Amino acid sequence: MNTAETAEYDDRIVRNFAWATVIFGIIGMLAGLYIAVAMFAPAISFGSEYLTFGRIRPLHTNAIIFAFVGNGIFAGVYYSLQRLCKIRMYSDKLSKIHFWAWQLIILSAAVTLPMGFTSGKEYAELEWPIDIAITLTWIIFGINMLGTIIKRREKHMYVAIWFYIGTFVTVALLHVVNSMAIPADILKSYSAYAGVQDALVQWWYGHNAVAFFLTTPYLGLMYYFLPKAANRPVFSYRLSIIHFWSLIFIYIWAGPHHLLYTSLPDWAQSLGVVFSLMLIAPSWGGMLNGLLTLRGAWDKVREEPVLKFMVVAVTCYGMATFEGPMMALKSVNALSHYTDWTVAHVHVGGLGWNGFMTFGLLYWIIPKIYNKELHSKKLANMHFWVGTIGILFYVIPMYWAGITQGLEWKQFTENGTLAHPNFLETVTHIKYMYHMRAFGGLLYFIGAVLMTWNLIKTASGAKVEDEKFVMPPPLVDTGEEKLPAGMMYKHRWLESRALLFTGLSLVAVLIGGLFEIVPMYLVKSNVKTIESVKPYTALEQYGRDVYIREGCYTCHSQMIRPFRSEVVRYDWKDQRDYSKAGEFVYDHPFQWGSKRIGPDLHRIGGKYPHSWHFSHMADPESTSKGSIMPGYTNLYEDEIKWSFAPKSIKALRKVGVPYKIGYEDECIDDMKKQAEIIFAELQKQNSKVEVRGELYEPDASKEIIAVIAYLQRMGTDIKKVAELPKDKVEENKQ
Amino acid sequence: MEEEKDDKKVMGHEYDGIQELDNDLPGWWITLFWITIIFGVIYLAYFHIISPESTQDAEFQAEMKKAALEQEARIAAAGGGLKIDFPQEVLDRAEKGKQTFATFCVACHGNLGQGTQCPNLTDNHFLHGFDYDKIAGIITNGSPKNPAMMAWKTSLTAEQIQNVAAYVFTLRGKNIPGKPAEGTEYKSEEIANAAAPKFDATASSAPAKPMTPEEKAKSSYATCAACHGANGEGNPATKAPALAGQDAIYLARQIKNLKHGKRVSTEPLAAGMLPMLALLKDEDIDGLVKHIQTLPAPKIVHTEKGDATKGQPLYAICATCHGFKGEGNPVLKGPKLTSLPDWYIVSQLKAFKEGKRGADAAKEPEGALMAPMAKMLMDEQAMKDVAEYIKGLGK
Repeated sequence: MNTAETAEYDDRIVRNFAWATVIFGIIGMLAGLYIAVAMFAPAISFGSEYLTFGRIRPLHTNAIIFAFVGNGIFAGVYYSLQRLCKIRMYSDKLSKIHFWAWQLIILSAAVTLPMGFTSGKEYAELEWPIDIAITLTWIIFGINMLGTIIKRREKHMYVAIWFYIGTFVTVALLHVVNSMAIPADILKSYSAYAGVQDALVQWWYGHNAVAFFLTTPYLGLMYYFLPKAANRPVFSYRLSIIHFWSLIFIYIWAGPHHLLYTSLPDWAQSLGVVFSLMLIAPSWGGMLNGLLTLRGAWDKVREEPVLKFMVVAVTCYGMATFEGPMMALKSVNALSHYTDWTVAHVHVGGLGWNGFMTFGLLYWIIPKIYNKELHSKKLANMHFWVGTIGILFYVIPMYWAGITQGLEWKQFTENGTLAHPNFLETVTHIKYMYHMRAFGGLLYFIGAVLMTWNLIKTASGAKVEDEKFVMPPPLVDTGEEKLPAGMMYKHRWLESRALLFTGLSLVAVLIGGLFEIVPMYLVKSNVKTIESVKPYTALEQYGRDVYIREGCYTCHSQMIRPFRSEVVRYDWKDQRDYSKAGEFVYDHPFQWGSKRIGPDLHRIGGKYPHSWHFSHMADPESTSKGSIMPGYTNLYEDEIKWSFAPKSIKALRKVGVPYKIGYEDECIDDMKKQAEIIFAELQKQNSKVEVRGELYEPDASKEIIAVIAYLQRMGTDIKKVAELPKDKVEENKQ
Repeated sequence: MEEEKDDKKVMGHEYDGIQELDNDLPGWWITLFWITIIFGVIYLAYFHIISPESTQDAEFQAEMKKAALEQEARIAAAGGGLKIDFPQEVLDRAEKGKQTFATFCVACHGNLGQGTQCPNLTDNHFLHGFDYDKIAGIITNGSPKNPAMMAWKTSLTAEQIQNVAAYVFTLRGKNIPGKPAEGTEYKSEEIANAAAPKFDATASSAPAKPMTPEEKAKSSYATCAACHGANGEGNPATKAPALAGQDAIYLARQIKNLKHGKRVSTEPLAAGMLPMLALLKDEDIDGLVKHIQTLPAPKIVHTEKGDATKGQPLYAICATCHGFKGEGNPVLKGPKLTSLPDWYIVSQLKAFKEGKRGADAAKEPEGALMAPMAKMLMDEQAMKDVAEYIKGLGK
């Protein structure tokens, strides 16, 4: 019984995932290129609401993260896991279901996102039915993967597998917790959390999506494919152990660094800062183990495109993971946040680390599974150079633009006024940087097209035959194993216990998460309530839903940070109040944003007359010459869906908004009443706007009225403190 | 060398051919890790145990306090500004106007009127004059120069406008440091001695009515008047030709051509016209032209000198389309020439000759007819001679 037998790896599933990676890479990059152009030529959407920046940007990020990188992970994991466990995947059926379910999810994302179905939380935009599908598919992947690991014919789990396990456990946790929402209808839900809490959960998720979807699985892949391609032993086993556990333990704490200088309590921000800084070494542990593995193999790097891609990928990983902690220092973040610096940073990671690692992996896998030489090494080298130059053309202008804009936002004249009081000025100054970025993106895209061609030529005429291998006999418990002396080697014992290992990784990531999220709920002082802040009216809430649908948060923040330059610029009425935690308690989801392509909107209410918004939303250039915002004429044509309002009110009540019982029955009347008031005001102001030869006039039943209602409400509640009874005023002055 | 050393440290296992070395953790890496951990401990201890009062709010309050002190110093340095004794009615209205100002105006003009995006209202410099009537006029009808300053008569009541204007009137000369000065500078005495405002006590607090077409045209022309003069007399300094007395069809066509980029503006200052034209709706152009036609035919300022006797034979060819008396010919689309200043005629002839105008028949078919004619003129002197002759026709 204990004899070796011959078996086959499932390479067809690898092939499927690999080609899906290629296809969705092209699509995701194309979407990115499109929005890069839309940044300086918003007319590219031709007035179609399906093609605005706000709707395509989530498509780009979701396509790259979950479709391109996601399929890349699965291709790499399915290929390497079987070989590391010396056994075929646990279940071919589960593999197939996993593959097709995942592609179906991607397809549904590609349809729903441009249509405006979004939860309004970055990188978690997909609506609740898709979220459930993701959860189920992820579990299928987990069962299949853990099943394979449990049935393995190799006593110990190699470091790559540790990373796969960490990934599976944490992504499941993140996705489920962050996606908690109450549906209002089939494709619209409201986040279970509000304001500050929602922000914390979202960035705990968002940050760790980077950590556990874009980093840990890729480190696992690096640990398999890099030594394979270089044919060298891994530099240090002990470094693997230390950097794996420290990475997953520390990473999970660092989320709040996305919320520095916001309304998040100081203690949570500080945790974000210190844990981010502590991440440098664990991250660099991965880089070191990658680069030092190549010692004595650098001549191969010169020859082998796979290694070239991987070297640049690992180097970019090292740069991004040093820069990240630096940006998590509050003083740096004060300048870098909301600017293109962030965009540059993530693209060093995205284009460099994930993109190049995936390319390297594909150049390795495709010839292997088709049992052929790569069609053209020369073409692959060309891809490498075009791609590398593309990255430079992308990130350098973005750093430049980010720092320029960040400084301009903060600059005061000698007279104590803002040097660039008009936000638009700081946009037009960096517009040409956006041209260069698009050029860089184009180069990178051309590189990917070259690869696609090269891989198709490689595969053409060949068929994937599942590779045969000699399967070792099943594991037998041989009792206590002899371990080398030394603390570190005790880990070896754990490496042969898959479930315990999985459980311990879960504990490692739970600690940080619980420590931050639980007090945020339990300790009242974290979110000081403000008496004058009331829930939105039904019409305003509807306008807010439209705001989310159109992806306004992809360009506008709703968070005035506690800086003089920001209160002077954005708190137009008093130039005194930054955004307070208590102002967001009814915001399901929060809409603080992460990038200011346009100005902050948190105190936009009352700043301009209704007629200004009426002109601006249809034709931004009519009020703001040089604006790069697209026009939203669809809001002037589409009727408010009145029947949705009661559902919305009921769902919001379930997540904790204190609408009085019965408001759902009168909310439509209430909406119509408010709409009439806005309509009358618009008429009095003689509002009309002409776009592409079409004249738009106010109409009390159109969505634009709801949007105006929301915009005019935003940030005004806190200013109503004076209207409160005397004894309430004091507690509002925080 | 290095490889050999490594080989000895290979762990006794392999996974799918991958071996692992048993190298030590790099020393600098461990040091780095410890430094970041120690930093973290110190950071948390400092901000949350040793000095828990150093919150981001405290940081913000300190920054704001510093700015406030700087502003006080600046105001003191500016000498406190002008002090004027206003009649009680002005002060009463200013007090009320301040509320409206705080709601509608501070976004651009700053909470003290010191100007942020829009002009400082407290200095000695004025773009549109410092009289109460001028101020009220700009608030009512908007700025002719900057669309951002909209006509507030549709949003504010006549009463509110008077009050805001009174408030702005009291701000003048206070010299609160803010947006750098713009416009013409006036002496403090001049500002202090401005005529006392006359308020309309019967002004209704009801919202203003929408403008009649005539009022609309008049307010549109206010924008044009900045360069072309209140009576459409033109201004050689701004290179703006006279408009009054010109044929209506011709005027409407040129406004549309300029607006839609069919006619290229040859004067450098004319570029400033485009954003203003962009605000003018096509359907309002006829009304505007009608208004221009009501302007009294003014005295035109000529600046060139030529020889009319030499110009006479040259004009013969012009007469076909522009008439023997330079009166223009609407059928052949030649504009009236006698209402134009000579410098403008010369500059346009040059533009046609050099191909800056009339080069594209698809855009400006009438101009394309004119271009070959202008090319027949030898040089600038010939153009001046023709212009001199045309001047004579008008007398």
